[in-house]
Amino acid sequence: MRYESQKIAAWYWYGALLVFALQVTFGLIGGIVYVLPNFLSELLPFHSIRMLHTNALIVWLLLGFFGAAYYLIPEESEREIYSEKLAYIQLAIFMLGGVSAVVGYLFGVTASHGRSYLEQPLWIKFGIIVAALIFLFNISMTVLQGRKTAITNILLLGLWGIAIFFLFSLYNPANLVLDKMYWWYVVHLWVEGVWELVMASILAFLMMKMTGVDREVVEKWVYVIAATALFTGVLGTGHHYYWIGTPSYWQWIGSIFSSLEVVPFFAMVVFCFTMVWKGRRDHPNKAALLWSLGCSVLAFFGAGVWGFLHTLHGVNYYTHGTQVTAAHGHLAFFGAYVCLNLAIMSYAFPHLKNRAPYNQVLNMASFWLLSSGVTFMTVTLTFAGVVQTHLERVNGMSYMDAQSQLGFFYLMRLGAGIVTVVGALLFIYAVLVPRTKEAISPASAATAPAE
Amino acid sequence: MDRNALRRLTACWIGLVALTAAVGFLSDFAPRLQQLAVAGIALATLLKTRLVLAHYLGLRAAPGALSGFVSAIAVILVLVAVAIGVTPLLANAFS
Amino acid sequence: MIHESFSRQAPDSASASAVASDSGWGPLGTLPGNPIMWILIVSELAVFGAALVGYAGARLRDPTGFVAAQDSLDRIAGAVNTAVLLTSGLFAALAVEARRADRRAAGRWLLLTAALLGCVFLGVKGSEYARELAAGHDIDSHPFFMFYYLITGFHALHVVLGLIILAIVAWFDSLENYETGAAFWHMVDLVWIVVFPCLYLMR
Repeated sequence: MRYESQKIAAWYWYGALLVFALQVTFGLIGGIVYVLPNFLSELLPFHSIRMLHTNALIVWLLLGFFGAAYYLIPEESEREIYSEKLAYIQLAIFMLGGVSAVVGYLFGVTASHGRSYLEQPLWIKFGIIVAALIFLFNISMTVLQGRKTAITNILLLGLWGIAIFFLFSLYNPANLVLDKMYWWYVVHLWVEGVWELVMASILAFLMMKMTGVDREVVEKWVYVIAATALFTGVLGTGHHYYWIGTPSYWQWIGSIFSSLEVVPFFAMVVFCFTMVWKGRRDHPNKAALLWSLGCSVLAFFGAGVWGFLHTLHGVNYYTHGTQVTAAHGHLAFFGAYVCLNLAIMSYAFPHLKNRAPYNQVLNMASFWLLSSGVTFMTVTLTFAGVVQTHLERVNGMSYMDAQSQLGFFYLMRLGAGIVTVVGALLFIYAVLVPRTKEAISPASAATAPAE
Repeated sequence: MDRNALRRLTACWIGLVALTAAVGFLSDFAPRLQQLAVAGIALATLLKTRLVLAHYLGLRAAPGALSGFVSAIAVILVLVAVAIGVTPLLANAFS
Repeated sequence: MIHESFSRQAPDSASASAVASDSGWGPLGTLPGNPIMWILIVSELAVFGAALVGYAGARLRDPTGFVAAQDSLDRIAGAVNTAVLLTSGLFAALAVEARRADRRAAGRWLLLTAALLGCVFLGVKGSEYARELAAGHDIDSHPFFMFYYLITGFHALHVVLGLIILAIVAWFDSLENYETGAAFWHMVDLVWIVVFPCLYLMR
């Protein structure tokens, strides 16, 4: 850690990891409900479980992004964060909002509209906006007063975009078609637009630090990735407008642009592997490197390939809203954004705690557990989705009759979910619990000197 | 201004306008000699894109990029021309 | 080489000497203008290419309907517009040559001419749209017109964007800006050259 204010990141990440644990726990409970439909049905109905699972995901990923920004901006801008106090106030507001939302959800307190991911009551939305404004002010001031780099430019663009597009959550037209259109302004333009910019800049920072490749080279990649992400992602929103009541030309706009959304993800894979291949630095933090490479690859498959699977309107006509979507959602979020957060945490925690990269073997084991858990879940849900599509959309079977045919897939998904939860807990243990030496001593990596 | 460049660009422009007239002319034959006209239009169009890429866009200096772009456009034109050219055959097959 | 590089341990700090690997743009470095513009050009070609292939595919399902709809287009206006845009492209290319020879005033006049011809293109296109709409052909009336309006409309938007870019280049007239702006303008030209025969002429 080269700047005192970088330690803010640690507090954000403690919060993030706490919510991460909650998120996978609710996921596990949801997975049990798919197998035993009456599980907790009185105490915690499925719609609440689902809402907690998805909302907690967004909250902890955002906390992770905030932490990442507070960690990397001082190093990039070569100065301390503008105001540490504001950063902690922002964290307090955000956590208070997040916890109130969770408690509220448990008692059925939600916004009156049924917009997934945006179920927060209005006053919590305002809290989020206030926290976002404080954050943007704080980091923008830091960047403006410090050294400007491509990494901070793209990161700031992404973070400003996150805040601006969140404003559409406040706009709720009574017309259901318009309601959904603006809902996607938040949901799609986040994950398939501005979040990709955050992803590109954090990956670029990690690659530069861990492989020692020239900043100049890394910056060019960042610009190419950011340009293609925005070019394809913005009009790619059209792939959500096929069957919601919008004019039919959206089918072609959506199909064409969203098919190309795989390009930035592919570029990120090529970028990460090229940097590692070209880099002459044998970085001791093998776990962070594994997460970074894993991030690019799993994002390519989850977001790129699984997204393309059902993005063409001719295909989506049949698969819309089936388990194919759930399969894509799980691997895309995990690969692109969960892995990204866990990569920067794996990289930064040893610095923040001023220790050699420790518990690397456990951390890498958690990578393989989490990745294989989520990948198996994705494959299982894909098959479930294909069967469901055929039964419902081709044979015309009713929704619940089709569901009753999918039991075995849901059982396998539950197994994958258990592995995922174990992996998540292992990760948290590996990065947070201090040790003086590796739990299992690897051949050479652990003997590398600390920075 | 470089006199050679001026001459080269003007010649390129003349070629482009001539080919535009040619595709318009070929189009008038479409109702009678459909496949031939479509193929001719596609070919003339490909020549036009090659002229624009090489001279206007300056890819003369980068032959690899030039052939890459021309091949990509060729694939698009072939797909469109074949889809349009086969339709009368399909119509005959199904009628 | 690779083995040697990986066996070396280096400290993780920004001050560590960075690798002197190739810092160029690779194949993009050899092209005129800003390499990001070429990323954009490739992306645009991919989008228009996909749209035209989609058009050809949709046409297979209703060839007679497509031919009937196509026949209502004004092929003469389309051909005139092609010539207008190609001439505009010539002026843009000449503008770059003028700037290269350091004749900055001449470069600006040539750019202005190119931009004026771009406006002529938009005028002709606008009158075509007006006639089609007056005849009751809107974006929802037939799949052909959906593709026609989407593809040519998206292209026309690029013409507008190109005019803005040319204006910016005339203002900030470095040679790199000239090459970058002209590259965008020629891309608009190139796309039209392919779109025009596919939508208007191939029947």
